Amino acid sequence: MPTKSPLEDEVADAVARLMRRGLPVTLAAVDPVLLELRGVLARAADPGDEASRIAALDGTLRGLLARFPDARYAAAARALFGLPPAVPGMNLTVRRELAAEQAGHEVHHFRKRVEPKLVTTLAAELLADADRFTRSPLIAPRLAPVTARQPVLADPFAWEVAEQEEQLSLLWSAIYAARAELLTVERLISLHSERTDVIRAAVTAAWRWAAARAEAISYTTAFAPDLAVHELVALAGWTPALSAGQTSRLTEAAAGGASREAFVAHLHGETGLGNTWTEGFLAALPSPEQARTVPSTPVPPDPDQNG
Amino acid sequence: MTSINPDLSTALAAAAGGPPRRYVITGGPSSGKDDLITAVHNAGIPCMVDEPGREIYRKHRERLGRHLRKEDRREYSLEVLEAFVAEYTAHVHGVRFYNRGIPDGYGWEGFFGLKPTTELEEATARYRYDAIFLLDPLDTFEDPDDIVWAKEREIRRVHELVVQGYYDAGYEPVFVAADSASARLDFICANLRLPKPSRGA
Repeated sequence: MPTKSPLEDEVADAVARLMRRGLPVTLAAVDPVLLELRGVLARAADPGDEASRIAALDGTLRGLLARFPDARYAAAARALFGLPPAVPGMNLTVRRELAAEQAGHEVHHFRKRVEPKLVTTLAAELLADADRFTRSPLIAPRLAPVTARQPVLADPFAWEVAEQEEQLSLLWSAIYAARAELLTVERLISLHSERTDVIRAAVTAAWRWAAARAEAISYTTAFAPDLAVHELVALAGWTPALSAGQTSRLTEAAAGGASREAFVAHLHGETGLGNTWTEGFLAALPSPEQARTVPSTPVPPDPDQNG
Repeated sequence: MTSINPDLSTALAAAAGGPPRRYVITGGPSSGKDDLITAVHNAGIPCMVDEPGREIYRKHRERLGRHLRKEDRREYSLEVLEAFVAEYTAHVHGVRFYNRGIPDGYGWEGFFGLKPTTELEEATARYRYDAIFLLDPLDTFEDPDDIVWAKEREIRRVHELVVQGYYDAGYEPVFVAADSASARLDFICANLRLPKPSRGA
C-alpha cells in the first residue's frame, strides 16, 4: 500500500498556508518548499533569485487553478485562492464564502469537508507538475512499442525536441555499444582466452568507448552543458585509467563515426597509449591466480594490424 | 471545413472599421494549434497565416549546418521577435488572430535556459494583445506507459513554459480544453462574444 511521502505533506501544508493570504504569492506568505519545486525552478527566469521564483510559483498556481482537474469544484478552488470571482485583497473569510457559493455548499460544511480536499488536490497537481520537470539524463530513455506512425509536427519546438531525441538515441546507442565491448573484454579475461583475442577485444572496446565519449561531448555541447561527459561515459563500464592527453587522443581518433580500422590507423605509433589501455585490463585481475596470467612482456599492437 | 456564419461575417465587418483587436492562439506542440488556425481561416476570421518562427528556424539551421546551440539562439530569437512585432504593427483595424504571440518568446528562452532579452521585455510591454487563448495539450501523458520518449515530456515542459511566459507578461490566459478544432473555435468566439462559426450551417 503506497504511503504519502513527507514532501506531499509538506507541500499540502504549504499550500494551505498560502491559501490564507491567497494569490498573488508574496514572500511573506510562501513556504520555501514551494519555491524549491522543480516546476517552479524551471519556470523562473532567474532560478537563483527569490523574486523570480515567487513569480514562477504564482504563474504555476494560476495555471493549475485555471485547469483544476475537478470540474465540480474548479470555480470554488479558484475563488478560494483569490482568483475570479474573488479579487486580490479579499480576506479568507470572504473568499471562503464566495467559494462555498460557487460549490453550492453551506460555508461551514465547505470549510470542514471540501476545502481540505481542494488543498490536497492542488498540492498533488503541484507535485505532478514538478514531476513533469524532472529529468533523469543519466537514464536511457525507456522505449515502448509504437503502434502508429508519429510524425514530427511542423513546429520549431518539435523540431528541436526531435533533434535532441535523435542525439540522445545516438548517445545511448554508443554507450551501450561500448558497454558490450567492455563486457566482452572482461569475459575473455575471465575465460583465460588467448592473449591475442583479449587484445583484439580491448582495441575494439577502446574504439567503442572513445566513440561513446565523442557522442557524449557532442550531446552535452549541444543540449546539456550541465552534464559531465565523464559521468555519462562511466555508465559504459570500468576502463583503465588514462591521462587527459591519452583520453583526448583516443576520442579524436574515434570522432566523426570513424571505423575501427580508421581508429586503429589514427593511433598507429601510440604504443604507450595502447599499453596503458590493454595492460590496464590485463593487470586489473581480481585474484592472484588470474594475476599470474598477466604478461610481463610489452603488449603488442592490435593483432588485426599484423596481417 | 467550417462554413462561414453570416452573423459572424457581419460582426467581423462591423469591427473592421474600429480599433484593432488582437487575439493570440498559442500552446506547445501537440496542442492542435495548426488545426485550430486552419479552422479560424475557414471561418473567414482574419488570422496570421504562418508562424514566422518556422521559416526563420529553417534558415538559421541551414546557415549553421547543424542544430542551433545556446549561443546561436539569441540571434534567432531576435529575428523571430522582429517578425512578430511586424505582424503586430501591420494590423490596425478590427479583429485578428495570431498564431503565437510575442510573449511566446519567454517560453522559448526558458526552454533553452536563457533569460529573456531586453528586446523581448520591451516588446512585451509595448505591444499588448487583447486576449490569449492557450490550447491545452491534446495528449495527456498521465499514464507513465504513454511516455515513450523524453520527447513527450519535453513537449509538455515547453507548453508549461509558454503558459508561464504569458503570466510573466502580465496576461491571464484563457485555457482552451482539448477538443475538436471547430468546438475550440466556438468556445473562443463565445468567449469574445462573437457568433459561433459552427452556427453557420
